[in-house]
Amino acid sequence: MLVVLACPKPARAVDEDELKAAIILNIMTFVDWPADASPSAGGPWVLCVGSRSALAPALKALEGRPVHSGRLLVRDVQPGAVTPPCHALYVEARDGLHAANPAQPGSLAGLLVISDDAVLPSPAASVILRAVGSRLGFDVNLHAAREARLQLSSKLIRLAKVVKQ
Amino acid sequence: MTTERRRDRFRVSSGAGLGGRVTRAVGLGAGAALLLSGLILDTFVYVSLRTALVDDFTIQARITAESSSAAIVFRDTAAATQILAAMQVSPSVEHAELRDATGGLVAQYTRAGVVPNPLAHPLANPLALPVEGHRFADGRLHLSQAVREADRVVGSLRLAVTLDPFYRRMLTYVGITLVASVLALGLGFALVVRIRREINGTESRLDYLAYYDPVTGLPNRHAANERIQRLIETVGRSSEGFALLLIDLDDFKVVNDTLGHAVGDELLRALAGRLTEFMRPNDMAFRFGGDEFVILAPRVTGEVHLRQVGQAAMLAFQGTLQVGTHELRARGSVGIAQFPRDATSAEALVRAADTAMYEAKRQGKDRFALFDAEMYRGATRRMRLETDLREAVARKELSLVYQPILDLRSERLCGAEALLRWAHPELGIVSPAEFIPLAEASGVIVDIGLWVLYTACRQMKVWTDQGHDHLFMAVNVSARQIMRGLDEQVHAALSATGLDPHRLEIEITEHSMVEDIDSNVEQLRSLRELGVQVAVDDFGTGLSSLAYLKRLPIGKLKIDRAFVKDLPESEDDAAIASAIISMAHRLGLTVVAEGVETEAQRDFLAAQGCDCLQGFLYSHPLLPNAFGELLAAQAAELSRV
Repeated sequence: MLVVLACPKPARAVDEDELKAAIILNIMTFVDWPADASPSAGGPWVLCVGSRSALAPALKALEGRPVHSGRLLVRDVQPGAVTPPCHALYVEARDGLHAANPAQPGSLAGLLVISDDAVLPSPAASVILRAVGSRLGFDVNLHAAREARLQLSSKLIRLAKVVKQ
Repeated sequence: MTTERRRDRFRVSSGAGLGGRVTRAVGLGAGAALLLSGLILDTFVYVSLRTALVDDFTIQARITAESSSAAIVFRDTAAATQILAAMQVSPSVEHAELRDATGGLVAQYTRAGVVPNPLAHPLANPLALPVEGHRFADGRLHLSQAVREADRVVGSLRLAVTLDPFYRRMLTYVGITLVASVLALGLGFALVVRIRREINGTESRLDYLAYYDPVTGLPNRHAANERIQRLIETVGRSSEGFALLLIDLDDFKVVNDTLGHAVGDELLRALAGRLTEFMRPNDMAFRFGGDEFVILAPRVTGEVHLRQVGQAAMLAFQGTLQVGTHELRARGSVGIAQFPRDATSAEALVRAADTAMYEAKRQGKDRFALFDAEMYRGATRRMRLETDLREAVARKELSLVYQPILDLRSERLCGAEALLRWAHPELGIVSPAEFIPLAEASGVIVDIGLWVLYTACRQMKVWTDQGHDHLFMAVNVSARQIMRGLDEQVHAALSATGLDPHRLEIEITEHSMVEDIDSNVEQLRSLRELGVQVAVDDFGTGLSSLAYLKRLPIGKLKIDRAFVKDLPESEDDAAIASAIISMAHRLGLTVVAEGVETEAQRDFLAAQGCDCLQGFLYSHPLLPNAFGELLAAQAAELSRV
């Protein structure tokens, strides 16, 4: 028994989507929202995702997981209509969400934009996911975070591959 | 100093052993105390250091866990490894690893040169450790710290810290404690040794005071008693016996009283030197008491040998001793007893020597005497007589007889000398020559003398009242009586009996006048003013000091029988007798010759102009009645003429 316990657990073969979804959830735990943008006590933390996003099912699977003092709620968003109150928005290059309301930066206040377009990320994205070799990593855009009045944890910044000021 | 070489003989030998034991006990005690306190201190340091170690590494683990939460959450091995690499600054950390909540290894750190992985040890199995806590095993501190992110446990950090530096530090502490203890012990020991040395010094000083006489430098009575005991133990083993010489100075009191105690001490010192000078190398001299010395002569047996030892001791008294400005001639009486011949114990041996010494004194002083059992019987008899003498007056065992004293020219009775007799109920008649010295020594002579004075006065009063009013009554008084106030005693006796003072004559010896002559002269003068006559008895046998004769208020000299006995044949005695008579007459003194037994003696004395005679030629001492009859007969004869 001891021998079995002593053996390191074999890494589970998770597919990339699940991993990416887990990272997104984890990133949310290392970000502090301004008080006026936080959900009321016990309220859900809303993560918006393009309805056509390949990651949607994986993210949906994480619904109900703890985020800060609340739980995760995943919502589908149609392109061009980012109206529901989101705390975080996951955008992919192909779903075109990154172009949403670029002329209204004020509406981005309190919104954590996580992009997976490492080539040409949305200027509003505070965190940009990208592949580093065989693994997944991320960059952070502190400027965008400041614009969104978000506080990124120093631990998160430390893990970032690239930090844009 | 001659006595110096004898000092070391009386060191108390038990002192060194005792001192050594005390030193060892103090050393052991101090060592044990130091060891115990060192042990307690080191245990305290051990516990403190261990607690501090756990605290330090717990804090370090917390800090690392805090900063590594994100790396675990994102399973960022590179970042986690980087965080763990910071452990390099803490050289004690041999191994560190970060695991996620499921136990999966995220990153690990192993200090360069450390193989094998200490966490691979079964006991170090991560799952065997609680999420948080520590454990000592395998010479290491195993520490487990939960990694939290927002109250959620996301993983764990495990450290394996080598205890080598801790042990090295402990070892240093123990070493310091030991070195300090040894140093303290060494210092303490040096101190104890120094104190010990001081105590030894004090002990030897006390020893010296306890065993030596500071005046003469000779060992004292205490030392003598110990030595006697030791010598007794050798008898039957290494020797057949030894001799004890008890030496008593004759008339030492006179030296002390006339020349002072300083000169007396000086004389004792000089004499101590003399005694040691004439001793055999193995003999030992001790100052036994005031004017008493003891010489212990080992391996002396047989009378010839004892006599040789005695003669050697007497050599010390030959010649004069230079004492300050005085040239003194010391005289001593020596009593010799031999162990085991004369005694079976130390005490009895000293007593035997003492008896022999008194015998030597009795025989006229300035000589030695060997103890014999007869002497002891004599001493016993003397002791008994001395005891019984105290009761003799009360029991009416004493009586007076009267020896007629004759006027040479008129051939008539002119006086009587009162002589004491003692009829002991068991021993019979005891000679005055035997009991008077005893009475003198014990002081009973004062009471007896008073009784004699009263009785003689009463008797004389009777005869005076019978009409014999031309007589005088001669009464001998002792030195002690004079010291107690003779004039008062005589006054009291005269007024109690009503006797005319002119009828009484006090006879003193030259010897009795030695002490406190001023007071004595004063007393005699007051007696003479009263009308009492004073005569010097036994003239010629004592000091015969003409200076005394001049100062004493006396009216009469009595020539001792020793000079009369061989008259007129002995030319010397004849010369002395006639010289005394002639000198006495020149000084205006009357002369009485004692012990006249022949007519030739009487004729010679008459020719020399001697005034009075007493002796067997005329009459033995007579009982009162017989004397009364003699008086009556003489009166009748005179009335017939």
